[in-house]
Amino acid sequence: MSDVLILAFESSCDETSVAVVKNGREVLSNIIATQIKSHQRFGGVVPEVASRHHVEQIIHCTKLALKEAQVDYQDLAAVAVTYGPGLVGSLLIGLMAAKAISWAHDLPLIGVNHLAGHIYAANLVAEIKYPALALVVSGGHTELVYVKAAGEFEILGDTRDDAVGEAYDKVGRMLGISYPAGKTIDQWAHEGKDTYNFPRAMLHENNLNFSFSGIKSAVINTLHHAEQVGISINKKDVATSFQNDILDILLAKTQKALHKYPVQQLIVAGGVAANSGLRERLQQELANQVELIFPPLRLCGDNAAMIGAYAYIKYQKNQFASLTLNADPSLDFEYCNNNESLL
Amino acid sequence: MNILAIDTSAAPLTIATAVDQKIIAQALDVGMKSHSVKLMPAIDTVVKQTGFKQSDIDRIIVAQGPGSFTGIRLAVTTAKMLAWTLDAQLVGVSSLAVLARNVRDFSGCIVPFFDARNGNVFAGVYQEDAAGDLQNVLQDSHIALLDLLAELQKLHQPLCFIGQGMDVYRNQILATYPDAKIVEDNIPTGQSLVDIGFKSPIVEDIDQFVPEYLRQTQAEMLWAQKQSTEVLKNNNYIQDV
Ligand SMILES: Nc1ncnc2c1ncn2[C@@H]1O[C@H](COP(=O)(O)OP(=O)(O)OP(=O)(O)O)[C@@H](O)[C@H]1O
Ligand SMILES: [Mg+2]
Repeated sequence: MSDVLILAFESSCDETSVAVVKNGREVLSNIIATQIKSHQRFGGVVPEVASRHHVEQIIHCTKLALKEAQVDYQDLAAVAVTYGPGLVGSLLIGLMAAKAISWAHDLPLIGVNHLAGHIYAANLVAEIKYPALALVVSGGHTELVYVKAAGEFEILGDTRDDAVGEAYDKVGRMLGISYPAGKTIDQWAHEGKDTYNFPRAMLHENNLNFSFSGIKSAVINTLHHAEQVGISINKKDVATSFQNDILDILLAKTQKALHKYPVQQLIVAGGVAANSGLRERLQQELANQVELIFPPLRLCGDNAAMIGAYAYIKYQKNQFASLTLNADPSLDFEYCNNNESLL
Repeated sequence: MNILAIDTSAAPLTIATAVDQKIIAQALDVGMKSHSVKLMPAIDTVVKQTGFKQSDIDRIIVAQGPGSFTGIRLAVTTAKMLAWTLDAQLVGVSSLAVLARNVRDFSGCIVPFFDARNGNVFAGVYQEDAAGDLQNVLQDSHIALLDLLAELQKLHQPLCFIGQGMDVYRNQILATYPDAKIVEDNIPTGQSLVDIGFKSPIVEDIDQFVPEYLRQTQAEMLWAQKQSTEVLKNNNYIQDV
């Protein structure tokens, strides 16, 4: 069989990205234009501003992606695009661009769930063995996902409130770190001490769900209280305490999931998968029971290569979209329906 | 010259093909919104009805704004991507000029506008020249209707207002201009689009082509108020990583 080259688009949030991926496994190009500097002006992503930037960047990225991969339209088997979840205005730019290329060159169109993309970034560094478990930790999501077979996903548990990346960004903001704050908190966490011992939410509950709004409030209260009584705060200790708290929860829930759903592989996906503390702890505590797949940093954040990786699965199953494909800002996987009874 | 013309700047969707200025096929959809769903299928249908292959398209004309931010982004993204990938010419036209072109045989000033809420409109002023071509008299802008009405006074011309939502504005307009002609219309015809786009300049840098929003985002406006001119000079916000 000849190689399947997929041109993939990703524009769900504040990165415009276009990639060419071979057989769902090999990145031929992966151009990422990030708007972070723009949104730092506002302390977070402003949807209308994001949409405007995507229109400015889309051709530039597409041009570079084709050039770097050294491919032409006749080399391509399909065009793939993230259609959700994400910011609707942002999603629509990638979607229109992908439809235009698909129509102009009679190439089949494939709609990709952004979260499936995050998980399938794993296939770009190792081969996913099913069933696998994925810990999806990003700016908008915190989920334990059971990947039963290729392209079959079930949510075992997710967050009741904030996503873990969101918690990092909100806490970071209070500590005076510019958006997005995850990376800096991660660095500080390695330099401070866990002196605050914030509460571990839902740690002992018999389910696989998460909650991060409590810890966020605990950090706010600590900072406010310190300010009121005039004691100085060691921000690095706050960062360490916060990160330890988060990691304890993520580790405990992942352990629980692995126990109930024995798998060979644990895939760690999404922007927070870049966290070095998370990588260390998973390595220390789980490497002996499961094969760990961490995509490299560039493939953890939003990028189109991961969209191309997952699109290949849909390509093999002939799951193509029509030109009516719309953005679905709240797209998500199905929940596993016998999960509660298993626990 | 084989032309594909696109306008989704307000609620209606207009797609047309033409050979030079002669319309061959068109799709007008007035059923509110979902342009994101309908746009590409409508282009496909109209182009195929015409008997064009994709590669037959020589020029793409797009209504660039002002209008609904999402609407103009959909059309502009589709048009620029198609023009670039098909190696066709790209022409951006004012959505207001297109609406004004719907009015024929009126020698005074034509005032097309879109409601921009809170008493504001996106509006411009146009007039037919001796050759029958539309000339821009007052630049498209985002303006309070009352300010617009005051501006028009200086023109000393018969006026024809065209736009949607006349129920909201009719009385205000007639109070100032009792003799004004009022046209309740917001469906840009393929002919209007093509007539304007046929004679407009070709976009030189398709890569940099963006909608004419005519309005900064709220966030940028508030941010800019607090910045020094030095900071405002920098507009280097996107990085390839
Ligand atoms: N080293 C790190 N430690 C912790 N968090 C991090 C680190 N690096 C990045 N992050 C966080 O990752 C998040 C961005 O991840 P990603 O780009 O996958 O999210 P998103 O695309 O906005 O959300 P989603 O994928 O759910 O739609 C931000 O919240 C950021 O702070
Ligand atoms: Mg993401």
